This record gives sequence, structure tokens and C-alpha cells, in this order.
Amino acid sequence: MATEMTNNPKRAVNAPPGEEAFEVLFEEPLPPVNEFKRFMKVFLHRKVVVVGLVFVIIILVAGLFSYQIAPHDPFQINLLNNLQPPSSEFLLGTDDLGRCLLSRIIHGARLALITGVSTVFISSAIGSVLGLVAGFAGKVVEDLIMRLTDAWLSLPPLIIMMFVGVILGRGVVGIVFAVALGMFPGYIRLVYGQVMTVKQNDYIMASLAMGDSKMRIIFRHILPNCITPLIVTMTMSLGGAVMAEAGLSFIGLGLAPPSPAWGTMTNDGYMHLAHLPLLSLAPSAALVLLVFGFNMVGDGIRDALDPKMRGTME
Amino acid sequence: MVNYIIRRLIYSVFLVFLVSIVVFVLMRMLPGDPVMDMVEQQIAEMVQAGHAPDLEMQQFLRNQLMTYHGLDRPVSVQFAHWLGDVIRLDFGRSMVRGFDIVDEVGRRMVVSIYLAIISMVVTLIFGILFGTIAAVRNGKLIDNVITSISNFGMTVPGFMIAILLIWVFGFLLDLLPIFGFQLPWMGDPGRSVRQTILPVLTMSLGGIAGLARMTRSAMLDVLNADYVRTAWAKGMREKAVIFKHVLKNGLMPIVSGVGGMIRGLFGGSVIVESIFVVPGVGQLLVMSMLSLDYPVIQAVTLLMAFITVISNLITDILYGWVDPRIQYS
Repeated sequence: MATEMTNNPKRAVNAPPGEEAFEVLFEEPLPPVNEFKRFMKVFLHRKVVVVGLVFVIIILVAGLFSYQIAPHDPFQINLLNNLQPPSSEFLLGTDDLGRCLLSRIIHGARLALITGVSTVFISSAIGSVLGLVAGFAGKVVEDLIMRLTDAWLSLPPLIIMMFVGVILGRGVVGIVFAVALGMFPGYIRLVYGQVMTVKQNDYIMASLAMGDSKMRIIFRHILPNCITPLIVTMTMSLGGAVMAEAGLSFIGLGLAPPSPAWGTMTNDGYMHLAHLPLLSLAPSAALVLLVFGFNMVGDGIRDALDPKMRGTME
Repeated sequence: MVNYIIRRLIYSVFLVFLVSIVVFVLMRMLPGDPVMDMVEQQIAEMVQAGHAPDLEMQQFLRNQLMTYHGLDRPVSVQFAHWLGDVIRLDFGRSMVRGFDIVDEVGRRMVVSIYLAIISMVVTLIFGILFGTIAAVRNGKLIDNVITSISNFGMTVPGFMIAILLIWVFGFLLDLLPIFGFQLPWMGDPGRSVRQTILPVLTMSLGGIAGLARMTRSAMLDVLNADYVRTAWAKGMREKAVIFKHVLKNGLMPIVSGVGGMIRGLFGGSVIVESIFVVPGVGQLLVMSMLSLDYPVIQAVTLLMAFITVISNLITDILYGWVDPRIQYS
């Protein structure tokens, strides 16, 4: 004890001679925590998350620079050169219309990323607004929204997506909205649940007593409490959104040809599975890599934002 | 308890009713003309018989068909009529193919449920088994293998699993039939079993991966609990500890996952049945969706909503059975 005291003058005051030594504890200021650094540290802690991140980055680069990277024009039809096995010119071979498979997969990356990301943003936006409204409007509106959500959730999402997809047409916008409308009830429940939890806190009572408006309470108290779970759910559902779009395209109700959607390509190549399995397997492998990457990144973000993980990795 | 179930059942009926309104309205928004195919067919027949139908004739035929199927009335009237029929369990006939919907959907439902139940059992057995093994051998090689495979398995979409299986078992090994399905009691049971393998594998592999992950984390929570340490300390055998204490308490989160699985199975059946040409409800839905067969779409979606609502109810009741602390109110 004594040596420790002398070693650390900050923590103890040496007593004047003759008097009993007493200990004065100073509150040591905590070292400033760089939130971003902490986030990255936890995020990159698991190897599998890093692998996923690498996949996502590769596909992101492919999507952003598809025109520069792709060796051929993905829409160039060449019937004389169709169904070629992989060669030095066509690294993955050509499809039944003679289009370069690799180029189509690279261009498909852009489609997959655009549909996935915008789906998640649209569904979370619709869902959050409805969840907030349900949590704050009167009983009637609340009941209406939550009961409709229950009804919406009692159909398999794929069926809702099929419906909306057919109604809105088979373009990118139509498919994005179709998948978004299949996914948004989850966000309603999430935000609504969060509102209900936060509403019970005393500070909301205090805020109301001080005469704050509902809008102020929503923006000052409710929304900040929703951000973290929202970000986590959004990243976690990115993979699901990409997969749903591909599933729709695969059964022929998604993005219409000739757009190089991975799901559509998988379905087109399916006919030639016996002799040219790459036509079907390569686009779906790209899809798996992206979904895996998104899921792992989502896992990593969830861990990094989880307050329970705070300080465990110092 | 009985009170709770009755109240939930009433709410379920209300939910299914809401779903049917939504579907009814959505369907009327689908682009395309539901009777066009039939008009063209009749025109073709007339041409073959030597007549020369003009545009007026075509319009007349179209109007006649619209009136015949009641499609010229306002949507609300159509809905009321349809609802009245449905309450008497009369779903009408297919507009495009003419079959009786109750018969046809009933027949296809047996196929879909048969496959779904087998997939469900396979998923439950292997998912819980692998998850338990991984949790008990936490950190060992087998845990790492199971965890990595299930992490990856959850990201592989159903149709890719199907294509891989078809490629490997159908083409490379030439072991199993890659399409078609027949119930075992309707012909050759041996062939039926062989036809069952690939669709069931496709439907259950993703579920096994998800369930294994879920079981593993649920079990790990329980494995560290005090009462498990007590059980070990009492000198209980490993099997007794795992089955009596760990698995029973770890089941809780799994039950909620199983409820979602039922919903997923019927959603997934749409894709699986299209790929393997299985004459089930999912395939019927895709077919009628493409040909705008209104009454069939309505019947099938109603059925699927009904199944989901009931399975949710069963899940909630199972909750109470697994965790007696839960009070129904």
C-alpha cells in the first residue's frame, strides 16, 4: 500500500509527520475515448467480418466502375459466339445470346447494390414514419396502423413482393418498391416498440410537463433512441433485400431481361445447367458473396454499436 | 387460456379478412386484361370454324366474358359477392383453366403440406442437433466447422441451393430425378421418395443453418447458468444435463424461430415448387399470377394468410408451454 502511494502521488496525500496517514482519492479523468476508433476496433475484431467487408468492397468497386472493368459490353449480342465455354477472351464464357458472362455479372453488381440499398432506405423510411405515427397519434390511428401491419405480416413476404412487382412493372423502381413493401412492416414494429419503451421514461413526462410539443419530443428524445437499432436492422436486412430481389427475378417476376440482374441470369442459365453450369452458378455465386458480405458487415456493426460490447476489447 | 385462444381466433379471422380485402384491391390494380386470353381463344376457334370475327365481335365477346365472371361490377360489389361465397366455402372456378378451386387447391395443398412437414421435421432434427453439438463443444473444431457452415448456409438463397443440388445429384452423379413430384400413396412410392429428396433438402438447408445458429447461442446462454453448474456438480451424466436442463431451457428462443419458419416454408415453397415442377400450391400461385386468374389468386392468398395466422397462434401457445412464467392476457 505504502509503495503504491508514493508511486502514485495523485492518489494519496502523504500525511504530515505525527499524524495518521489518510488517503485522498482523486477522481482520475477517464482518457478521452475516440468513438470512431472504438467502433472500428470492435468492428474489425472478428476475422469473418473483415472477410465480409472485403467481399462488399470488391463488389462495390465492380459496381462503381463496371464500365471500366468489364471486358465486354454486357448487352452486345453475338449469336455466332453463343454458349462458349470459358476462354481467354470470355473468362466465364458466353450466354445463349453470346453475351460475355463476366461483363454481365460485373454490371449486375451495380443493379444488386442499387436495388439492395434503395430498398432498405425506402422500407426503413416508410416503416419508421408509420411506426412514429402509430406511437404518437391517437388510439384509432394506432390501432389502424398496427392491425394493418399484422395483416401485412400474415402473408409470406414473397407473395406481397410478387403482387407489388407485377403492379408496378418490372423495372428497377418497381422491384425496389415491391421488395420494400414486403419488408417495411418489420420497421413499423421496431420503431413502434422503441417509441412505446421510450415513452414510459420519466424524462418524457418531464418534457410534457414543461409544455414541449410532440414534434420536439419526437426529434429530441424518440428519434435519437431509435437510430442505433435502426442502423443495425438496416444493415442486417441489406442481404435479405438483395436476396429477395434475386428471388423475384429468378421466378421471372423481377427485373426484366436484358438487364443483367443476377437472379434473372441464374434463371436464364438454368436451361444449360447440364453442359454449362457456370452460366447459372457464377451469377448466383456473386449473389452469395454479396449477401454473405452484407450479413457479416451487419453482424459487425451490431457488435460495434452494442453497448454491452463497450470496453470489452480494450 | 381457453378465453385467450378464442380471442386470438377471432382476431385471426379479422386479420384474414383484412388480408383478403388488401389482396382483392391489389389484384384489381394488376395491369393486364384477365379475359384477353379467353377472348383470343374463342376468336381462334371461330376462325377455324370458317367465321371472320371483326373488332366488334371481339369487343362483344370480351364484354360477355366480363359480365359472366362479374368483373364489370364495382370492386366493392364483387368483394361482397365473393365474401358471401367464401363463407359458404365456395371459392368458385378458375377463370382461365376452369377447374374447381376447392378441389384443385385441396389436392395441391396435400402435396405442399406433405413436403413442408417433412422439411420441417428434417430442419428441426438437424438444426437443433447441430446447434447443440456446437454449443456443447464450444470453441472446439466441430463448433468452428458447424458455425462457419451455418453462417454461410444462411446467406445462400434457396434457388441457388436448388441449382447446386440439381447440378450435383441430377447431372454429375445422375442419382436423383430433378423435377416432378408424386405423393407416395398415388403410384410408385420408391420414385416418390427419390423425388422428395431434392425439394426437401432445398427447403430445409437454409432453415437448418439458421436454426443451428439460433440453438447454439440459446444453449450457450443456458450452459453458463448456475443450475447447470449445479447439475454437473451433482454428478449427473452429460446426456441428462444436456437434455433435462440445457435443451429444455434453451428451447425458448427456438420456439419463436420455428413460428417464423412455417411462414418461410410456405413462402419458400413458391420458388422450390417452380424449380422442381412440384404440383403444389406455390406453383399454382405463380401460374395464376402470370395468367391473372383472379379467383385462384384470392383463394391461395387467403389460404396462406390463414396458415400464417394459425401458425402464429400455435407459436404463442407453445411459448406458454415452454415457459410457464408467461401469462396469457
